[in-house]
Amino acid sequence: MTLLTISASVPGLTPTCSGETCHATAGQTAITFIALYLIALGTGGIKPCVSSFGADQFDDTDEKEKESKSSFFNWFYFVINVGAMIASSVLVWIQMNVGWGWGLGVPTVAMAIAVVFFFAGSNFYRLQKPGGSPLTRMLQVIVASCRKSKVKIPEDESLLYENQDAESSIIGSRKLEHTKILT
Amino acid sequence: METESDNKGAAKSSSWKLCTVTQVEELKALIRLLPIWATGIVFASVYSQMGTVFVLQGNTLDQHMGPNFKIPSASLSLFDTLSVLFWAPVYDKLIVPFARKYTGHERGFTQLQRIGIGLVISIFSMVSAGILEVARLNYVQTHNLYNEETIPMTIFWQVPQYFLVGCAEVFTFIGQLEFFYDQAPDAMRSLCSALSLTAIAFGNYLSTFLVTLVTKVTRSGGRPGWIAKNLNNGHLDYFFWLLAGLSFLNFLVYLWIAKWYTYKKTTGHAL
Repeated sequence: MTLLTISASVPGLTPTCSGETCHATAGQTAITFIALYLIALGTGGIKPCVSSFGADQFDDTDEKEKESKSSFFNWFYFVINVGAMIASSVLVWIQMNVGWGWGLGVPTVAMAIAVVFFFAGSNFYRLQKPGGSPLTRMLQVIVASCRKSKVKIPEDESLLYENQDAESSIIGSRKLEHTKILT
Repeated sequence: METESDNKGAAKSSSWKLCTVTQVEELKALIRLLPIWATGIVFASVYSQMGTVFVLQGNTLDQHMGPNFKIPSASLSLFDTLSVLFWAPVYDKLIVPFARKYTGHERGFTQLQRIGIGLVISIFSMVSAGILEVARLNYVQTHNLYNEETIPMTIFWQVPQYFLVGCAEVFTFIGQLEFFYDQAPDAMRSLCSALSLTAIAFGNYLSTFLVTLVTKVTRSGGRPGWIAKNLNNGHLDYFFWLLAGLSFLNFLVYLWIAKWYTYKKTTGHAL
């Protein structure tokens, strides 16, 4: 979420600096590049999360919602392409005929409006509880399995270690069944 | 990979010594996704041709639209966008219910089938680009236009290849989007979605690598090379065949991997 906020504030940097870079000093060039890298950072934050977050809004246990979830991905991609089409037609036209200030200003304003809308909906979202860093958990598995590489695996799956609650020990996650593959 | 031990001695041992089944399965789920992820790379490199080699090809064609307007060849990616805008609703509203009748699957196709179909379509987009290039080079040859910058063949011949890429996107990219979300363990969804995006990045690198390699190899001995400075002397069609061939191999590998893949199983509820 922090990244999302950063990404949202990022495009705001671009128009001011690109308005000035007509005679680019070293500082202005730096600002432009910092802005570009921030956009890359922001996109990196928003891109994988926005589709997951959107899909998280559907309840998997409800058959109807489960089906809408599948459609969601289609329409999500559809809407992205609507945006791409506006960008490659209207915005290109503005950039060619009106100028870069407006050309970059329009998407910045659009982004700002999007952020306002995003936060306006805060109370209605279903939120996946944060489960901690998956990278740590993966490392733990690797370390633990190396330490115990000599221990024999029991035939009976129920002997394998798992907590007894309905939810897994990772907060907000369902449990996964043991699989034979890769053992 | 080992599963965690049956050593239950220490009830409160650290997670660095004893991991739950879910935790182990999480890592295994990620490892299982990797081969599918890898096959996405070749697809992404086909996709990236749209911004590079397609544009080069378009530059040699007649860009006129009416007497006064010339469409920039990079703008033809508009047809890719239009294709997505066309296929995404068609897929959702027509193809899914239609396929459901035959497959019995509630979503028409499984996610893996959907990705596979897109991979096949991507082969056709390369073939279509290749055919256009063969036709273009024939035209150049019969009319002896080797030194012309553009030849009087309309750029709109490129529309089919852009359209096919767009169609492949709807199948493969959206399929991947859903697959990597759905198959990711609950607490790893964003991570896995991010993983699938890195395939696009690697696809771009692969494309750059291919172009560099092909240029280097085919230009040896003073030949103009497949991707020549003047495309009329080159053989861009061979490059498209190469990509089509690679995509085909990639598809075979994909079939093999997809057959081996087991979908995730969850127990209990969360949220």
